[in-house]
Amino acid sequence: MRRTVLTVGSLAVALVVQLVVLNGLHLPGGGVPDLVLVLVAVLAITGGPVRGMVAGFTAGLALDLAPPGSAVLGEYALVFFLVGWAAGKLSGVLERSALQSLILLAGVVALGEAAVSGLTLALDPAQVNLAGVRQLLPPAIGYDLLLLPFLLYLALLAGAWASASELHRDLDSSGALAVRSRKAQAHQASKQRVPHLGLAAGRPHDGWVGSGPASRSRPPRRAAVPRGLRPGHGVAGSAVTGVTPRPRLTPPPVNLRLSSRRRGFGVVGSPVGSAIGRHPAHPGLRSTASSHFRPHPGVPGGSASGHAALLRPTPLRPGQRRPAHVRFGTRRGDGSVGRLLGTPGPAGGSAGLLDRTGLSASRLRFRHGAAPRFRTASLAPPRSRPKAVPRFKRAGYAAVSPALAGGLSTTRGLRSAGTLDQRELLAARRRLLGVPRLRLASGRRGDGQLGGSVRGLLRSPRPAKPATPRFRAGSLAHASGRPEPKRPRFGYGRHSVLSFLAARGVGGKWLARRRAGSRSGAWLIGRRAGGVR
Amino acid sequence: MGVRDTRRTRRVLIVLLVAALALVAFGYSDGSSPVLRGIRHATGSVFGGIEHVASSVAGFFGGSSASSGQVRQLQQQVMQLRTELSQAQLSKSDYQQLHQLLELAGQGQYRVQPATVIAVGQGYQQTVTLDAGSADGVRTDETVLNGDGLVGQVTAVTATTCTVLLATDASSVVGIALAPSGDIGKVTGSGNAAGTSGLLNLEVYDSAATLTVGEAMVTAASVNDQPFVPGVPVGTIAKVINKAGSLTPLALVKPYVDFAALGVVGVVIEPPAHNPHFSVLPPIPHPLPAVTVTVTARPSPSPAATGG
Repeated sequence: MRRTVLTVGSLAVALVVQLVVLNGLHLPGGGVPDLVLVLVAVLAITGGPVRGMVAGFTAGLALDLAPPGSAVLGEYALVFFLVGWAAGKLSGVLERSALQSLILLAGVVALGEAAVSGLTLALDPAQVNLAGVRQLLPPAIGYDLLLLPFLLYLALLAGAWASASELHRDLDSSGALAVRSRKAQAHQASKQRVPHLGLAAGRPHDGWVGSGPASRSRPPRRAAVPRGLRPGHGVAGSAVTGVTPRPRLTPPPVNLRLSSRRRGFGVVGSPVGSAIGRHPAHPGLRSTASSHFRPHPGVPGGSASGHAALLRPTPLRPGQRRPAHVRFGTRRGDGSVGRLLGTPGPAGGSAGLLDRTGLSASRLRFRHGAAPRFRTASLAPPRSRPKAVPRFKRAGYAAVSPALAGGLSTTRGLRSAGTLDQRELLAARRRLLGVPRLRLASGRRGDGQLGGSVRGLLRSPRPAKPATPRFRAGSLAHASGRPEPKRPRFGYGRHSVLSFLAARGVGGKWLARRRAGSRSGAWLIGRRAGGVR
Repeated sequence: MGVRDTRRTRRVLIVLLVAALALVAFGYSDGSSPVLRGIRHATGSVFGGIEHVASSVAGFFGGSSASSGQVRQLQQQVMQLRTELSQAQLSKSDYQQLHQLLELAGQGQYRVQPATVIAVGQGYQQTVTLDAGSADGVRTDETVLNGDGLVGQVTAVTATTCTVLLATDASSVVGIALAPSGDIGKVTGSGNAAGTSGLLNLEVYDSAATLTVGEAMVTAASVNDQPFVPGVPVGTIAKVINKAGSLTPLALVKPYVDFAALGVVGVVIEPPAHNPHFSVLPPIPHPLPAVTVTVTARPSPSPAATGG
């Protein structure tokens, strides 16, 4: 929000300054800097391609339309939009090297200036000749490149400020904003990293990682719970400590890295450093207006959230976000703690959700140093039943394929106990696939992941449609022995437009020629016979 | 290197690309369609208002460009006159330009609507936006001048702003009459190219006409006085071009107007009742006859002669 306001405001100011002040300047060399072009490029590289494209198109269109206006409507819209796209593609470079991104951005800006001149030459030859372009273009590019580093620096500052305020607000509302003391930090650094998960949390809201469904029949909310924390609403980091935060006390520190031996494991939320641009923050950090999680169906291993919709296609409400994706395992894919599976059952309540399922059992006790490995066993024990103790196996089966889960959901194991032992799992597999060698656990990166990453899910604009699980080679599709044949999108397959028409006898001869090409019949026959070329 | 295109990115890319190309095609094929003019009119009034405000803010800080020597010279007079001005926002140089403009308009019997340049066109085209629009009686195809001479013509009008195509634009064509001879011709702009240093191209239709450097010219009357009213000073011939192949005499013209420092201009909203011909032209600077005093030493009579 803040970032959008910043973008729009800076572009509007740049537009007016360009038209009122800069274009009237008479600088040595003849050209004038194109402030709007440089700003579009800079906003794109800090904001990503989509933001860059939209900003470029809008600013260019405004420049086309604002009096005195351009000679041909749309030329600046076209060029600036392309500049925004190209610069947005460079946003990955910005995170690596400032100098490199600056050089590449300079190239993009220079190309943009040249494209404006070229388009004017092509569309409006009466306006300018090649000699004029050759004379005015180099100084204009030079002035642009003079402006570029300063604007980039300002945009980075503004972007960091915007995202910092967002982060601060979200963390503040989650009650998790705290900085460890130096001593504690040193202590932490000296210590080996071990998983911190709420040890035997006894209170209703303790022991939660990620989010759980809303509790409708929970005991009333305690006064000591900070704003935005409700019992049963998981907030990222709330499980870290068993201490109930008291008001006017510094909130307990958050250990964001849970059991991570490698970088990137167990990080809750997006890293602060990368929050400058286009990364959507983790749902745990980027809360909605009410600043806490909303209940919605989740799945074990947030990456596999696609099959929640397969099991029970509940359309997300507009304000809702896709499930969280938190990992605790030592290996990638192990012990994913996502949202918990909403099981369609009588206990589901009006929203079709179970209360206090899975991990909320608050019974996760870990020995010091033991890495938690969750399994599908963390699924949904009904409240009436004795609490299921998650089993920790050697290898994690964190993610379940939709087909498998669909099959399993009919079994007693999932529904009633919430715990699947190995034998049952294997039996279900065998029943479904016939091939027991389905390796869903992740030995390699990307294996066993169902659906896209969290980022992909968050970006998905159609929440009602389940994400199609994508398998790596050697996983489900291969193991089942029935690989889905690839079908060309625009071919003459069964679903193409041409075949549709041909099947209804529309344009028979013409279509036939389309299909056969303009070759002669003899050529075709010869080709099919394999003789003549 | 960069970011892999996601599906959303690709979709936005395609949509915007199609939209931009459609805009360009639409604007290129039919630049003067009523739809396009309506869009430009609507957005122009919005942006024009913003530009108006911004220009007054910018003018408050910077003032319009004029040589400091002029300002210093006129400071005393302007400070005196400024108190009498109803328009308090006029800066010193603006006042000077307005004064000249009204003088010129009075000579030519033009009825002008004074206006200020609030925005300058982007890119290679030579256009400016004025802060007077149809509410002030400005219509398209009217002559724009300032205290020195011809500035351009009005090409588009919104309620509060208008767009002026400057005489230096490559697509601008002005019919002129040379001052002493009355030969007619046309003056075209040379675009933004700095190599010609703001000179205009003159072509005289009479092939027998002889051009001399320093000859002045005014606008010839257009049909119905649109876009150019007669008698507005354009410039003087700076250089005569003798090209072997050309049928007509060609020359470069130095305009009277300094297009780099446009401030207060006037839109002629009512043409003169009769053609002022060459009466508006500034007086030709006659060089003063140099008075040379030669003192020759006359030898005094020799003392021998007087003595003798």
